[in-house]
Amino acid sequence: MVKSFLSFILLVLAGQMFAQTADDIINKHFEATGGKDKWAKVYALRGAGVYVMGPGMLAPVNNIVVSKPFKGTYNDFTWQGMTGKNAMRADSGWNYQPFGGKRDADPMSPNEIRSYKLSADPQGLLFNYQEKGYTVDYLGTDDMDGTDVYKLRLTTKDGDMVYYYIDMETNFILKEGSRIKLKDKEEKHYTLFSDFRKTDFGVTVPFSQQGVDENGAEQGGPVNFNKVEVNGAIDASLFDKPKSK
Amino acid sequence: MNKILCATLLMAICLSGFAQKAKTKGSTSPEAKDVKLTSASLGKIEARHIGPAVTGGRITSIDGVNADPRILYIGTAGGGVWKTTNGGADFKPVFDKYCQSIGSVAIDQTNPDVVWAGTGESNMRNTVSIGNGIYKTTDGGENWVIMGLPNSEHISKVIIHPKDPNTVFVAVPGKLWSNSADRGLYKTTDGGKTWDKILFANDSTGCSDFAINPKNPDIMYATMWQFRRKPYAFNSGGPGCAIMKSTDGGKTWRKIHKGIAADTIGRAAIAISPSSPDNMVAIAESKKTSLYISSDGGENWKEQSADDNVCARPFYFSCVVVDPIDAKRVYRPAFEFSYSEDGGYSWVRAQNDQGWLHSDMHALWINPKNTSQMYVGTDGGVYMSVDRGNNWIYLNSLPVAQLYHVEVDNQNPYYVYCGLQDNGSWRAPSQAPGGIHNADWVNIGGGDGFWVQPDGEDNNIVYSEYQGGHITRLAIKSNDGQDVQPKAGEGDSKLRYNWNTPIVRSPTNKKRLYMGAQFLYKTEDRGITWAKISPDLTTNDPAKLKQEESGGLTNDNTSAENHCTIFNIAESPVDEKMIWVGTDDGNLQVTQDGGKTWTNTSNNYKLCGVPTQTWVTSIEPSRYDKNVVYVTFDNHMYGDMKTYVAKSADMGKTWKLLSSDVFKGYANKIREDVVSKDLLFLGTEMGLYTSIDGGNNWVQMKAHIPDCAMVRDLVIQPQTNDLVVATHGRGILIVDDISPLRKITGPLLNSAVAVISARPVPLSVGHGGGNWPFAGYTGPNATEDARIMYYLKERINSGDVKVEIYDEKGTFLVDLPGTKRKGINVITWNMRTKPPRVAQGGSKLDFASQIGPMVAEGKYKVKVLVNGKEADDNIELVPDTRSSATEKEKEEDRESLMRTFKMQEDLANLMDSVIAEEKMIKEFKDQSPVVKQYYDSLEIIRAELVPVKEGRTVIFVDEEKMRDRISDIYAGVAFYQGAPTASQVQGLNKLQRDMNTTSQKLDERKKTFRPKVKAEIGKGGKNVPY
Repeated sequence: MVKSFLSFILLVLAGQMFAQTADDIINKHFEATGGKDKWAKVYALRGAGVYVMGPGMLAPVNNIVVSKPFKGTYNDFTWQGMTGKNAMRADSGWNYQPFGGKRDADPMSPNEIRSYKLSADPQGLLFNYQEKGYTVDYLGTDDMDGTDVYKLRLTTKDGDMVYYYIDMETNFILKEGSRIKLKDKEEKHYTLFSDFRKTDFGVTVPFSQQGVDENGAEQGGPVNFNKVEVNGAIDASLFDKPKSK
Repeated sequence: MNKILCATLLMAICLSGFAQKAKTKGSTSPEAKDVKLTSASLGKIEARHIGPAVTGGRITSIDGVNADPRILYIGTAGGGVWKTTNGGADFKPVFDKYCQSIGSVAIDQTNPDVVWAGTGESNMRNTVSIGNGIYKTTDGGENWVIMGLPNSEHISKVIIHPKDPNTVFVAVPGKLWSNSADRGLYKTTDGGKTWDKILFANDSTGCSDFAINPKNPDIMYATMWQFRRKPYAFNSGGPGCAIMKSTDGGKTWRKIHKGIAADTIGRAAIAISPSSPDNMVAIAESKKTSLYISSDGGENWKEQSADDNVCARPFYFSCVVVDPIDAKRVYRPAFEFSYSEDGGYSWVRAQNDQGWLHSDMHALWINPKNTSQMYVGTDGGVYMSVDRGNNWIYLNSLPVAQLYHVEVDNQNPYYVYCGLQDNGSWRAPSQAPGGIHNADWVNIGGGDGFWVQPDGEDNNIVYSEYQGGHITRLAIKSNDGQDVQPKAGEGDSKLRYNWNTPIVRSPTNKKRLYMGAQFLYKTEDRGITWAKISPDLTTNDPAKLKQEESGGLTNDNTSAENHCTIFNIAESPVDEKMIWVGTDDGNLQVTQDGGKTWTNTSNNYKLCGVPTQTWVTSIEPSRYDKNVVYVTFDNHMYGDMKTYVAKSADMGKTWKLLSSDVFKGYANKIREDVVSKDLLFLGTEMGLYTSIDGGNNWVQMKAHIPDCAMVRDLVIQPQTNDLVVATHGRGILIVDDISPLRKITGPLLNSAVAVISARPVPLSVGHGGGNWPFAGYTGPNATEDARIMYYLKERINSGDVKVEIYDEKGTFLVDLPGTKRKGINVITWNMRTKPPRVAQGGSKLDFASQIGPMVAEGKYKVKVLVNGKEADDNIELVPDTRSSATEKEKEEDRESLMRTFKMQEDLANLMDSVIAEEKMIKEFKDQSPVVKQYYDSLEIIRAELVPVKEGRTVIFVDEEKMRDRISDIYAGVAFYQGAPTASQVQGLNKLQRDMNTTSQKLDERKKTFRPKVKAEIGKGGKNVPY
């Protein structure tokens, strides 16, 4: 009977280190992006910019994430004079996609709502994650496209997981991946973040985001915001389901 | 900002379906330190995995989620762990950062996100690879952590305690090639933090099988196996072997052999009936391997009659399984698939109406919710049965083929040729319409496949072999093959061909082919006559030539242990008289007179630290200097897993060991670049590496390449500069266009930004052809867009990266969003400029707004702008040699395209006029009949130009208006490079007339109505700006 005490000790120490480091990393991230005090006051983000569809093809977009007075998300996208939209508010949502000639908004499915809900947090899920009912594990360091990153895993009560790749130098979140367990399938989304800028409010956010697949291949073009407003006035009617035309 | 927008946009875009020498001018960062090449520097120089999956590789372990049997994990011999979430419709690799040889996978059924993977398969054949411990994931394979047993090398089984998921048992046969105390049965009770070795026999005996009583988990069984391989022999069996039982959770053990006839056994497989655990089955290797049944928990065994399959090759087939519910139903996947319906008393073989079930099986998982459904792992992939194993369906989307060698030809697109472990020889194009489908692979040889050589002069002829040097020359189109193996001549001793016999083309003479037994042979007439051009070049050591005695208790002589043979041959590209030969017993011989005289350099290379008797796994005589040669050596069969790569600059007289801290795994192949003398590639059993300075420094190539890929062969296709990689478990990987690595020198590495010119790009609309969703795995094509490559010293976190394209006159054409990663970035340009502005105001999207006109052939400047710094270089677009279009036809195409482009924009302007006119009067239309009449007449015009029907609820009811008709021709012209058809031209003429008519109509209506409308609106005190 041989017991490897050394590996036991190392693993126990590593476990302790992991437990401390996850919070340390989160704290460093919020310090690097404006400080926890400022982030505590963030309840709405509104971005306006363009989606780069291809060479010379820029489509205007708007994106809103709000947590007060209600929890919701809103997105729109305009091309050829038509605007597609979707919004999620509390426990319901809708999609309006006129590009094929349709003029009715469809209700979001429960699966979509679940997926969008994970995103409906302008502070980010990591902020006060324990109060929000999440757990976070530190998964160690990794090489993300040549950059050294900390890797964190946030788990919700439903068992959904969100992975954060945090630059060890800047402490910015460079990539986020989500693994959402739906009834009959598992959904995965990955997004790269860049063009970090300090907003007028004082928090730093990425002005550019790029969807990628599991292997890191770009999915479509980037979304580049030219303006991100923190806690600006939000027109609540945007979240109302459009009437049929 | 929030990430959800991306998903929304992608959904929207999908609706249309049409979305489509380094010049280091960039500034050097003032604070620059000397940047060294790292893996990160290589950036997006990444591989694509083209398969094959038409046939698989060896599967070592299968486990499924009992509560959701669509989720399965597959352990493979050389391709890592794969996961399916749809019952096998497709698979994804989930273990790419770790050792690729898998012994066992086990799912924690109480939390199926927890999965254990024991590395190092335990089917101890000659070519088995090694592992480095046991791993665990807690999130369904997204992340893994090594949990220990790093020196185990081989793990045969991982079993999770049925009532306590933190208690796990690991059966470790241990090292195959050397003695080791790191073997036996291990147990953890804390989820893998600590391990106890609870059963151990001796340094040459490990634990090969384990079973636990699901109803009383204190009762457990283990089989101990004494075994050892040498390069030239295998031994299975010995006094350490035993079937053991514990009734106290593994604290104490006793041998349970009552009823087992043989005094000495070898490898034993056991199975317990989950529904009636006292009932057990065992297959114990001995001089007469037998099947035993016990009905009292192994206390007494009764030998039963069994056929050859049940008792076949016990060292290799160690799987026996009892149905989860029916205690009488027993399965024996072995050479073939046998099953019993009476608890093992009698056996029948699978019916296989469907066709062939690949032989050689090692794993079986039965769906406990539906025991008719099961998955078997074979040497040729995974099969599924829905009728209790009678018939099987091949799951053809798992690309885990185990290559020994790969070759390419010079066709456009070029073909790849490969030989696979237990799966014959194949070829496929490197590009095919819609990707490289299973149907694109053509079988060109049977048995175990190894070296394959396309004929130097005739693309219809190929040479392949099966084990032991059985070479065939095949005419592919007629499938007409002839055995052309060199035979022993007068006075020759018996020829000894290696399991993996070299067949090598001459780099200087297209007619010449070499092949080696213990002698070297040469043919220049396609194998009809072979000239023996050497004496025995091996050590010819009699102690290593007793293959008939190999196997231990069970004699097993398949040519796998053939030894004292030639293992590699290489003719110098700069001197056809200079030929190098490496053997499997350490000789490295060279001739400088075409074979008349030979010099053995083995005593020389030993001086640089390479051990004696090593296998010479590859020889690369330099194409730049005949004095220079690179060689890889493999000593793993003597228990030494180090990486040995050596270089001689004086024809083998003295050697320098090329070493690096980044190397892992024994060395299999070294390849010198075909353009840059300092660029080298190295394949080891655990990764792909490159050096840009002649071997002094190395970095690992990781982009889409498993960190521990078993790289067995490398070849560079000279026309495309593609590096084609043969892996022993992940099929063929192609790194498209490695030419940037020739340019990534010191000055470039220190640039903040630099554009790297790539190979010329054939100007093509693409050869996509049918993208029909064929069943099975589809290997991706290389992009046919222009690849734009640029280097960034650091990741760009602030600001933007913009890529601008200019024509030769310096006219700006288009800009592209740049990626921002550290190292080499690769983006694609579809060689089109900005699409036309199309008419708005319709009720649906028009796809022409996403298709820009293609540019002409020629040079274009690529400028990359990053936060005030910029760099540029040219990219050359050249004629597509696969296109039959003449220059004149291409010109006609372009003229038609630009004409149609202009029509789109004219129509957009016309539509703008209509919309503007409507906008001015819309608020008054219900106040005046005249205004309404004018508005309605404008609406009629609008409806001629664009679809206006709103509220569509189905996708196939559509309107086709002038915009759609122009777009139809526009797309037709834009996606063909030859002259437009007469019909297209006719259609355009008609559309131009129609547009003119509508335009005139609008003018007339304006003329008629504007004064009246102005007057009408004026009555109300309002005005319109006419």
